[in-house]
Amino acid sequence: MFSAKMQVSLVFGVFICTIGSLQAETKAPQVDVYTRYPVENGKENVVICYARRFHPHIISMSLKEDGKVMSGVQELDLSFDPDWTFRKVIYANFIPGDGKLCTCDVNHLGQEPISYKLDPLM
Amino acid sequence: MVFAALGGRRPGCYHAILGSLAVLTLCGRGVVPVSHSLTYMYTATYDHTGLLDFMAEGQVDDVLIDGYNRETQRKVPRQRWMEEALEPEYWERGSQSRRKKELWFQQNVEILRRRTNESRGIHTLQWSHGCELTEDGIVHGISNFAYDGRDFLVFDKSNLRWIAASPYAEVTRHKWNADGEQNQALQGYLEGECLKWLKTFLNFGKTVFKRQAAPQVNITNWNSDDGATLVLSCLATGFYPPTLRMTWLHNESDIGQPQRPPRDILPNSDGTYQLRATLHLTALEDGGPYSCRVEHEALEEPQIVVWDPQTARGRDTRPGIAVGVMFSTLILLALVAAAATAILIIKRRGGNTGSLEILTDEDSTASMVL
Repeated sequence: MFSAKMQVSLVFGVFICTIGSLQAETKAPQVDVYTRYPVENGKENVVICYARRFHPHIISMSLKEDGKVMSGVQELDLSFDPDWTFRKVIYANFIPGDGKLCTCDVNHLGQEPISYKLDPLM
Repeated sequence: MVFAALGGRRPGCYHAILGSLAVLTLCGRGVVPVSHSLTYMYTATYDHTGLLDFMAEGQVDDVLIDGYNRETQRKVPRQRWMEEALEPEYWERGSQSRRKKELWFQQNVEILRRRTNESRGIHTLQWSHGCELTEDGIVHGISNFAYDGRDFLVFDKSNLRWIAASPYAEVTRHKWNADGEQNQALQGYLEGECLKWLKTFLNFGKTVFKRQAAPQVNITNWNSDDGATLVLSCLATGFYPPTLRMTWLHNESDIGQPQRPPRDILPNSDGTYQLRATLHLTALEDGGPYSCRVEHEALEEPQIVVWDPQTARGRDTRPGIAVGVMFSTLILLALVAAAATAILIIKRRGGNTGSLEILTDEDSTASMVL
């Protein structure tokens, strides 16, 4: 049995030990934009935007072609990894062409969206 | 010999430069195909006003099999083979069970909110629950909770006790550990019922889980914007399972260190995966081809795609075209032997943590209050 005094010091000790870990920590997503197949101009492909290692899961992602939201964008369910961070995939069919700019805009936690470019060379 | 660790949390990523012989090997490794897992994942977010969002998903290996969200309040199949194999009654019972879970989270985030005394901000409570069957036939049950992305309560299956990973979990730990029968029942579920369902789902989806899809391998090249660097990118795409080893080889000349860390194995939209490795060359020397070597279990032997510098010279920053030439096994073996390969391994994902879901009766856990 703990004495009342011991309990107080134990609780205080735990409190001291955990200061700094109480703040809800946010983790920004790591994002990749890529294609299902090697890029060939004029040939049907799929552009994929993959965000992972983010926390919490409040995120919005959109695929744009030359600044316009692409049609037929599909998404795979949000899920989390053993380290508790989340992952999400969205994708759309598209046909690469010269000068076409494909981007994935990712907005995590209501912050200013970050635009990630598809680099057809990658 | 220079070894450098690459990549973040995925262990074992190295590249190596061996004298005049340069080898870059990337090996992405995913869920080990002979080990399988069933995981149920629950996520609740809340703020000072209460529960904001709740979702739950079931996952077998790397495949999501079902989903539930707060809007529809329905447990629905995420794979056609799940839909075809299970009667509407299964989904109805599952929906009821998930709604109970949602209620549990609603009540318990309130308890947690009072306990942590946090007035502002959005907080998250996650629960991962299930079982893993290793290749040796050993069953591991897993049931863990996380608060704001960090371990909160961890079920110690060896001692049938909960471990508090946060001071806020101490009260819960005391309470839950006082109920030995409850923990016994949990263990029974994780290693019994859960395993039974895992095997059932693996059987339903056997064409998916047992399939092997070979990668298509291509090399692309381009010059950097300032023209000083030639970049070679090897892409292996469309493979399953998500375990693959990729190696850049250059015979008889030193390619120098690759300037970018290797990338992760990335998911495609169709359940297959891809991996790319990029090589940055400042000087292109004669003396042997650059080639990308790919090993995957769907390939009977490693595939080697050779990049031909002759076709690439004079190209500007537009994508060059992959010159894919399959080497014969003999040449391959000679190359491999010469390469004295250094290997690096990336783990795409750790073993799935599990979660428990009692599909016929999920009430046992729902009666445990944080």
